[in-house]
Amino acid sequence: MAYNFLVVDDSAIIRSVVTKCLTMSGLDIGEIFEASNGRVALDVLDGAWVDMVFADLNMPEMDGREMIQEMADNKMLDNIPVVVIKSERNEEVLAWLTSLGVREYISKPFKPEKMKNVVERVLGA
Amino acid sequence: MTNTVDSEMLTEIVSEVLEEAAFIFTETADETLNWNDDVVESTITYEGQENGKLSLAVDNEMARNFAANLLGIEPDDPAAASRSEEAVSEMLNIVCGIFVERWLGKTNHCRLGIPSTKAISIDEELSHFRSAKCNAVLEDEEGKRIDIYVR
Repeated sequence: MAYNFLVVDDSAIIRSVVTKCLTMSGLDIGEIFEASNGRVALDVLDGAWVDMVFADLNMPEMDGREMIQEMADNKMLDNIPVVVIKSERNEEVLAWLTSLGVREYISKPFKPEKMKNVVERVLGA
Repeated sequence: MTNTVDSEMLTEIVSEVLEEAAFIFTETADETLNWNDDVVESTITYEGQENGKLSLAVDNEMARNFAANLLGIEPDDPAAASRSEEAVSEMLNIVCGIFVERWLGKTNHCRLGIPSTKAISIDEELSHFRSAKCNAVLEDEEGKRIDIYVR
C-alpha cells in the first residue's frame, strides 16, 4: 500500500530534503504534498488524502502549533498522525503538542533511515 | 541544568551539524583567518529562559556548498546559488536548537525565532564577531572561514 505524505515547512530547502529522504527511504510512497505554512497545509488536507503529516513548528502566517491545534479540533483531521520536525527542544511546547496527539518528533538533521523508522513506527508500515 | 557557553561548545556544535547535514568537515581556526569572498550572515533569536541572538557567517561559496549538500546537487547548479541563503538559515536553525539544549538542558524553556539571512560586508561581520559575548572560528578542509557567535 502506497502512503501519501504532507510536508509542512516554510523552508523550501527543508521540504526538498524531507521529500528526498522519504523517496530514498525504500517506503512505498504515493504522493508527497508540500505546504509552506499551516494555513496552506489545512487547504491541502481539505482536498487530498494524506496518511501522515511532517510539520515544522516555526513558520510565518500559521505556525505548526496552530495547525496542529486546528487539526486536533477537526473531526475530519484529528486522526491523521503528525510528526513534528523540530529544531527547538522546549519541553513545555513538546508536552503540549503530545497532548494534542503529535505522535513523534524528528530532529534535524535527518537521514532516509531515520525517516523510515519514524514512518514505520507511526503507520506500522 | 545549565552549562557554560564557550567557544569550544560552539565549535563542537557547528562541527557536528555541518558534518552530519552537509558532509562538510571542519576544525577550529584562528581569528586571523581571512575571508576569501563576500559574507552571508544568518541570525536567529531565542527567547524565554534566556534571550539573545546566535549568528552564523560563511562566505558565498560555503553557502552554495550548504545548499548543494542539503539538496544533493552540484555546487555549480543554479539552484545551489538561488537557495544558498536559505541553506545557511537552515544550518543555523539546526545549530541553535542544539545550542539551546546543550546550554540550558533538555527541559529548557526557550523558543526559537525564524532565521534572517543577508549579505553583509566583511567589516560589518567582523564587528559583530568581535563584539559578541562568545564566538568561535572554524575552517573547512579548504581553509574557508566559518564564524559562529552569540550576541
